[in-house]
Amino acid sequence: MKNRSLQHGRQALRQRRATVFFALLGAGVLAWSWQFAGSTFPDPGIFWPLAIPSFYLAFKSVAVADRLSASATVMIYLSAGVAFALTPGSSATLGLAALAALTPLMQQDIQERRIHQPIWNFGQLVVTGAATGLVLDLALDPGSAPFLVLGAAAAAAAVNFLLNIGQVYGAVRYIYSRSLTNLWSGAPVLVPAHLLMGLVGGVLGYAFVTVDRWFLLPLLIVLFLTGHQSFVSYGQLRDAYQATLSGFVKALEAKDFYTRGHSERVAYFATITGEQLGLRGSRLENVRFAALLHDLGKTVVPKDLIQKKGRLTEEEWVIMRKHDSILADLLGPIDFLRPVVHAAEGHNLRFDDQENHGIEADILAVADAFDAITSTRSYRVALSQEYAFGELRRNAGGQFNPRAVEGLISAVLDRGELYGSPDIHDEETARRLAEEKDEPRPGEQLDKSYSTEDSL
Amino acid sequence: MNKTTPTPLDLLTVVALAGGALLLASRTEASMWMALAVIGFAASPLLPISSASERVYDLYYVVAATIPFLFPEPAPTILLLLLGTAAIRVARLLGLVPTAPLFVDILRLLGAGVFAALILGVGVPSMIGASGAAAISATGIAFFVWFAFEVFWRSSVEVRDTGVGLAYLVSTSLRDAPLFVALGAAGALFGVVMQYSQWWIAVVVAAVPFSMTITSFRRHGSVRRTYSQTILALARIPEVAGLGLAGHSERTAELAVAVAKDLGLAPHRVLDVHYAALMHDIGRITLTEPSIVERGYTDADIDRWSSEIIAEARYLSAAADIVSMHNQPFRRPGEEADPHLPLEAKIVRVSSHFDRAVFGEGLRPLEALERLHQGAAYDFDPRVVKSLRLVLARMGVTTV
Repeated sequence: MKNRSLQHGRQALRQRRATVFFALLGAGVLAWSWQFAGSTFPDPGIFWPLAIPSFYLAFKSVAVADRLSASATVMIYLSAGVAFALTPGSSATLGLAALAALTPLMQQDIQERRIHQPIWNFGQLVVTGAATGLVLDLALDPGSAPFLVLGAAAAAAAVNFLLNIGQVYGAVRYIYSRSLTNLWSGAPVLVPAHLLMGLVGGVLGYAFVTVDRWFLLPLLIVLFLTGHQSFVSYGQLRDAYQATLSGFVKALEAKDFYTRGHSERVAYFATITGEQLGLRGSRLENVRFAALLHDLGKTVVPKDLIQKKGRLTEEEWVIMRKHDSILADLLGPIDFLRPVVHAAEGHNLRFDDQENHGIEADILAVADAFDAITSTRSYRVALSQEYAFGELRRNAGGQFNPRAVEGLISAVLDRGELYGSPDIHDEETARRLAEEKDEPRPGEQLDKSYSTEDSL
Repeated sequence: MNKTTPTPLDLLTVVALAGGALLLASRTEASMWMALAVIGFAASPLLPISSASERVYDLYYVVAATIPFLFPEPAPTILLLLLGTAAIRVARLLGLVPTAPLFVDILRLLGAGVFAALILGVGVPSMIGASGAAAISATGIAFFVWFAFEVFWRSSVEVRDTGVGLAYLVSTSLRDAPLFVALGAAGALFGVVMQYSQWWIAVVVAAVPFSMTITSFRRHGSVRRTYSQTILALARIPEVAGLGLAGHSERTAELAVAVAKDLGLAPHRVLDVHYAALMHDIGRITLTEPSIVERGYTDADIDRWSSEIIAEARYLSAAADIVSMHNQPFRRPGEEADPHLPLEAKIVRVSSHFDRAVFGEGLRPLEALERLHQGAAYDFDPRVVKSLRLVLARMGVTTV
């Protein structure tokens, strides 16, 4: 405990130091580029039309795995930089540093009161902006050929990317003493996207100075803003969808004591397993949604059957199994669920079946089994986590996909989470305990018949 | 995309459009870009994008916005618009692209024609470079006129019988404007940059922002679709469990939406009616609980359960309110009609009663309608019953 608070204190100190460092760094670079550029601040007629949308974009940027909007910022930087560098008597170094100095505010930071974040942003952005502009200033003159513009834009985008990533990486390493592994996992997509957007930005900047900018600019802004706005409302709608789904599932499960919260938990296990196995974005999301919906069929089975203590008769099993086919019938028409609906269709789907189903289905099966073992059912009490891990591993390769099993186990262990009972490690004890619980307890008996007072 | 047999009117239109274009051919210099524009028109229905009010726009608007900027003379512009529409019709008839009624293509041609006339009439292309700010204002006005025309004819088609109310027009315009503006801006950008710079720069400048914008619109559309598919699935739970009348929710929703549109409700209210009608019986899943069935329950209980379940979803609170009120009678004897009872609730009530009478009790549609008529003024809002009668006649279920 003491250790932890000590660590926390050191983090706070380093955080303060980093804030001061970035504030000084930003101010210093800004002053240097002012000096370097002399009196060649870009024409306000070019500067402000670009500064205002980038301020807006940065301020409104949303954290919805927002690769698109992050790239849009790079594009604006490169457009502005190329336009500045190609205009006689204006410096891209100063222009971009100034542009960057204007855009550290983000709505989310303000709402969540992260005061140091804008200062960090300020330092990082000014350094990145000035360096990007410097590359463009050195490479381009007014009248440079379009292909030279492309080359310079690519180089500037690369510098921009490296400085961006490098500074975030350094700051996190310094403050939290851990390295960001996630940072590099997205690189194969991120780097080309960043370069491509940089090139596009360069071309836009070129068009901006060669064609009438008063005509182009409003059209470009409108195009970007509508796209951005639609992306934001897409994020909101998706959140609403998620809320709807979990709200419904909760409402549907509420009446059933034994499966209450089951779907929500399976969704959680499936999500962390998916993350562990490197699923991202919409694939991860679909796993989550599928997990939320996977037990919907149960809601249509008579409750007394689900809650029945002891084994089900053959006839009752037929009714129970019917819920699988009902589920397929219900969920089949939902487009995105099609790849996972197989998994939701039943627990009889095994990994070693010949039929080819995606990793999503395998994850769902493992998450479902893990929650079933570690929570109390009508016929047995919850088992321990070790037992659950052992059981999953024993069936890996047969019933379960070994990758999904190991993914779940390491995801749970990495988070230091613990599920299930602390001390029940075998099926038999679990069943026995459930049966013992079935024996009427004194209080319950009183409830049923007031006359038998002697049972107290 | 099936091949359709052309009607004489269809063929006549294609011939007339192509003939008109041919007359102008002598005054135009053919170029590769003109050929590409015609191909672009013909292929335009292949990229449909739906707006927030579920109206479909496509690449047509991009190509049509490019034309007056790319070929800033009356003759080639008119020629391309005519030839383009002819090409679209031919592509539709051959089954190469999704089909649409003839009047849709003609109205789109008219809208694009008005836009081109305004752009060329004011002389926007010659103003670019000299007074860009004036050029962009004129372009903005031209886009506005074009958009107003589009929204007006589309709305008129949707609410054919009641006439288009201002509220309906404004609400759909707001939902369609971002997509329309994005399509038009991309087209204008391409045309202008082509005029003043290299072609590949024009392609990059217009195509990249355009495709990003379109991607986000399409994603938005796909979540909307997922949303309604999921709600449909949830709504069907009670009936697949054998706890409700089979198909009742879906049929009620179909009727209720048709009535809501007929009464001129704005699209977001139509959507609320749709969701409410789909889910008005979802509370029946509570009947899987044996103890509740033993205890007994009333219709009011089911409505309450339904609305409680729906209210779990923040986004659907409007639908939850409709469901909680949909079983209130229009007016109790001796009382004035409750002014706070929303039209949406009355619509769901009437549609649900009609469907139950027909599919639950086995009445013929006319008999069921007759019963609603008898209940009008007390149980049911006469306006809604009248509208249902029209809707049923239009569907061919009954005759007026």
